[in-house]
Amino acid sequence: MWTFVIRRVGQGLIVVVAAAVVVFLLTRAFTDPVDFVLPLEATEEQREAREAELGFDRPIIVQFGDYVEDLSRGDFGESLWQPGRSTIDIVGQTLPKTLQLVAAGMTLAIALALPMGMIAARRPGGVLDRILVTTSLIGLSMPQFFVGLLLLIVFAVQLQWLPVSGYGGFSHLILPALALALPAVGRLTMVVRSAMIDELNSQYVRVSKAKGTPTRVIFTKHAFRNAGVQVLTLSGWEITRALAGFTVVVEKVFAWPGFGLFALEAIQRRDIFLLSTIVLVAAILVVTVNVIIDILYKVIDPRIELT
Amino acid sequence: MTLGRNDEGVDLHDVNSLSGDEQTLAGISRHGRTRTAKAKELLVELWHDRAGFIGVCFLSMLVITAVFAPLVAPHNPRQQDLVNRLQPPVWSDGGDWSFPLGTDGLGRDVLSRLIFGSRVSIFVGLAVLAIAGLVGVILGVLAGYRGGFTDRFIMRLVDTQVAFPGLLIAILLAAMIGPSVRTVVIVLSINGWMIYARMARGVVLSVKETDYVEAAEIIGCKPNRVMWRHIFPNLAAPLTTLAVLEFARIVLAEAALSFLGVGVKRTDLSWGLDVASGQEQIFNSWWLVVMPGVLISLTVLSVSLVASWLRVVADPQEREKKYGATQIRRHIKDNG
Repeated sequence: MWTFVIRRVGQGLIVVVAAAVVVFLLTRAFTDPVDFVLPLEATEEQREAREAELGFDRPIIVQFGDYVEDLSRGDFGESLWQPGRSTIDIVGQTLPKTLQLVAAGMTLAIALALPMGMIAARRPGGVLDRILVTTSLIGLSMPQFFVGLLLLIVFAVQLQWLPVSGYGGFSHLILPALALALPAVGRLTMVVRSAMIDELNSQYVRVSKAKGTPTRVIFTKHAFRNAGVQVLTLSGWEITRALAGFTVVVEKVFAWPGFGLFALEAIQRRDIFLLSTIVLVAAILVVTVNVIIDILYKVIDPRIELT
Repeated sequence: MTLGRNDEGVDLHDVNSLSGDEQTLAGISRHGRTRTAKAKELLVELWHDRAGFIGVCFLSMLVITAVFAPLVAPHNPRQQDLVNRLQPPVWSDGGDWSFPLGTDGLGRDVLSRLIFGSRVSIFVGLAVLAIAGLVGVILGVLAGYRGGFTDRFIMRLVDTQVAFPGLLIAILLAAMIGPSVRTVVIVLSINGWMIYARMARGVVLSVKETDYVEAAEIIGCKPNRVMWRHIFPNLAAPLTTLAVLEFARIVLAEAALSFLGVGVKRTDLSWGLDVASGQEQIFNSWWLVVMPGVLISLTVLSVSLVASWLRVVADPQEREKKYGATQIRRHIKDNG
C-alpha cells in the first residue's frame, strides 16, 4: 500500500515538473518575454537593457536553473500587471474563490447525478429512463458558457431572482455553481446509469434477488458499491476538468473573481508571469486530485491491483 | 465509454431466439455482397435508428450551408446596418423576414453570421481530427507493436499529458502565439492526440496475438507491413466512432476558446465569438447569445447521436442484436 502511495506521488511530481518545463519553455524560449514587458515602440537599446535586467540574455539552461531554484523557494516571480506584487500572492487571493466554486459545483453535480442515474437504471427503456437520458444528452451537448448564459438570462435578467455577476454572499454562488454542475450532471448521470445497469444484470444481484433481498438493499449495498469505482473515476475526472479549464469559462460568464478570470485578465494585460504561475498552480492541483483519486480507488475496491 | 450498452436489452430476447437459426443468418449475409447493396442496407439501418437519422440530416444540412455559405446566407455577415441594429428574430414582436434571426449591435444579420461561422467550426474540427488522429494512431500503433522501451516511453508521455490541465495550457499557448484559426488547430491537436494513441495501442495489443498476424510474421513480412497492412485495418471501426465523438469535443472546445477571446481572431466569424460579443447586450437582446448557443448545442447533439448509431453499426455483435431482427423479418417476407 505505502509503496503504491509513494510511487503515485512520485509520478505526480514528474507531471508537475513536466508542467513547469512546458510553462518555462512556452514563456521564455518559444517567445521573447521582453515583447510582453515593453511597449511595441521600444528601441533596441531599451529592449537589451530590460533583457539584461530581467536576466533573459543568459543561456536558456542557466535561466531554467534559476527558474527551478526560484520555484523551489516558493518564489513564482513578480507580476507585470501589478508591479511589486508577487504572482503567487495574487493566486493565493483568487484560488480560494475558484476552489469554493468548484467544490459547490461538483457537490451539486454528484448530488444530482447519483439519484438520477440510479432512478434511470431501475427500469432501462422505461419512460422515466428515457426522459432522464434525453435531458442528460441535451445537457452534455450544451457548451458550458451557454448553460451559464441561459441561467443568467432566465434567473438574473428576466426573473431577477439572483444577482447577475460578481463575488458576494451565497446568492452570488448559486448560478455559477449550477453552470459548472449541469453539464457534469449530464455526463455523470449517463455513467452512473450504465454502471448500475451492468451491475444489476450480474449474477450476484440475481442470486440475492432470488434470496428475497429487498430492492433497496440490492441497490444501495450491492450494485452501487460495485458501480462506485466507475463513478469515482468520472467524478475525479470532472473535478480535474473543472479545475483545469471549465472554471475559466464559468468565471468569465459570471465575472467570478477566481484564478481563471485572472488568467484571462493576465492575457489582456500581457502578464505572462502571472499566467504561468496560474497554470503551474492549476497543474499542481490537478495532479493532487488525480493522486488522491487513485489512492481512494484502493480504499473503495481492494481488488484493484497496485501498479 | 459503455453508455447505452444495454439500450437494446428490451428486444434482445426475441432477436436471440431468431438468430439461433444459423442457416437463415448465413443466407442473409450472403446477400448484399455488392457495394451498392451494402450502402442501401446501411441507409435502411440508419432510417430505423431515428435519432441517428435526424443527426445525419442535421449535420448534412450544416455542411451544405457551410460549403455554399455565400449563396445561402441572406446578407453579408460583416455588413453593418446601423438603422436596423438589434432587430429581434422574426417570431418576436418587431421582427421581420429580412432578418430571420435578428441583428446584432452593429446591425449585422445573425443568421448569416451563424452560417459563415459554421465554416470555422467544421474546418477546425476536421483539421484537428486529421492531425491529432494521425499522430495519435501512429504513436499508438508503434507503442503497441514494438512494445518494450518504445511502448513505455510513448505511454508515459500520454499519461503525463493526460494529467495536464489541458484547457489552461491551451490558453497559455494561445496567448503566446496569438489568436487565429491556425492557433486553435495547433492547440487542440496538441491537447487531443493522446486518446487516439491509447485506443490504437489497446487494439494493437489485442490483435497482435492473433493467428493471422503471427502467420504474416512467420512468412517474413517486415514489421512495417505487418503494422500497416495487417493490424491497422482493425482500427477502422473504433477509430471512426472515436473520431466522431472527438469532433463534438473539438466543436465545443473551439467555441469555448473563441468565447474566452483566445481562439480565433476577433475579426473572424465564429459561434463562440458571437456569443462573447452577444453577452454585452444580454439585458435587452437575448437572441444574440441564444441563437449561436442553440446551434452549437444542436451540432454537438447531432454528432453524439450519429456516434451512438455508428457504435452499433461498427460492432458486428451489436449490429446483429439491433438490426438482425428486421433483416430476418424482411428475408422471410421476401422469400415466403
